[in-house]
Amino acid sequence: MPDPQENSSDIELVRLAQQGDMRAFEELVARHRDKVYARAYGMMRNEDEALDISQDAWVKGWQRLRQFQGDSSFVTWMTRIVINLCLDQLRKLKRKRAESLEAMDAEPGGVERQMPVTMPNPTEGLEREELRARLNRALAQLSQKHRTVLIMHEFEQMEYREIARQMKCSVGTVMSRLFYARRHMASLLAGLKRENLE
Amino acid sequence: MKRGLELKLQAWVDGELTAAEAEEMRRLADADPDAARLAAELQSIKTAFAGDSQPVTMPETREFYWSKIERQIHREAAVRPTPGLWWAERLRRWLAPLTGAAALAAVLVVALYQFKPQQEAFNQVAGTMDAMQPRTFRDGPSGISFVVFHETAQPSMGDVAPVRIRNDGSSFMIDRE
Repeated sequence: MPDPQENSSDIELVRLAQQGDMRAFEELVARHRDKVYARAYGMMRNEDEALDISQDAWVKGWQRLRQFQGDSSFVTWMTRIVINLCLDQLRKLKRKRAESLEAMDAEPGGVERQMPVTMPNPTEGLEREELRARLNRALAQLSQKHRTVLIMHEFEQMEYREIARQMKCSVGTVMSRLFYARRHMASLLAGLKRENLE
Repeated sequence: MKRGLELKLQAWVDGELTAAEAEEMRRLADADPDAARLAAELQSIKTAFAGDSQPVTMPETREFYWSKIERQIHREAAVRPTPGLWWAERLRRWLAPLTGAAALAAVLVVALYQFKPQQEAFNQVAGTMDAMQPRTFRDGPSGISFVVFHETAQPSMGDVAPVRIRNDGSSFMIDRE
């Protein structure tokens, strides 16, 4: 017998879950777990960590459900929670290990200025799967803070100011990191394209 | 190209500029081939991500994934307030540091209060010492000296009279002779 909640909207399910209906919350998890997991994986680049953090995000979501006022969509609200948890985790990891590569990422006026502009478009004409594979390989080579700002901007469509607030830095820093991340991505993707041609 | 201009060009690509600023960047890209190339590169990365909008599929089944979340919710519910009492949690979060601060303030007030009377007593003694004039009496036979402080002004030589100190075994008495 089909579950009647499968046909309910997110808002209806959220209302039920706010009244303590755990089955409604389970349905919300089933609908949006892939996106929440994808954000965690995009930032952490580690399957196990992404699974743990995405599950923690759902637990937090349940605990804070009364605070959800519907100003944004439910899934946007959940992705903000998972991004915050990832940022917390990344800060903890950063404290634990010296990130020698990140230390080299001089932001203002750094190496990205010396990179030649890549032309033509390094991802043009790629099939979706190939595009994804290359983006993933390139993303994995970025530092955590550059990857994070790129994911927040490109996948979550977050504005500079909102990213700055979440990352606890200035708008100028966000712009700098985003610029570096894109230029580095372009360079990495061009390199991957050359490798493929050879 | 200057750093600030590069970032502004990026902000144009991202649609973060006002209409006037965006028009300025459009004119720059039209006039400067380097600016146009840079804008195109930044745009290509945006486009690449937009083309990768297919959702990622997680490596666990719905049931297994949910069972872990459900267990965690129940476990934390045992030690945390229910979602309906989120305000209580927030209150407690504020109340704990406030209580600590209040306790610290109370300890400080008590400490200051206890210290203050001693200081006043000391000041009083010091004040009394300043106001008093010491006079020394020495009883030759017993070899005892007394220093007496009194509040009168320095006595004239005419006021000085010999005294005798009597010791009856339990107390000393000073008699003017």
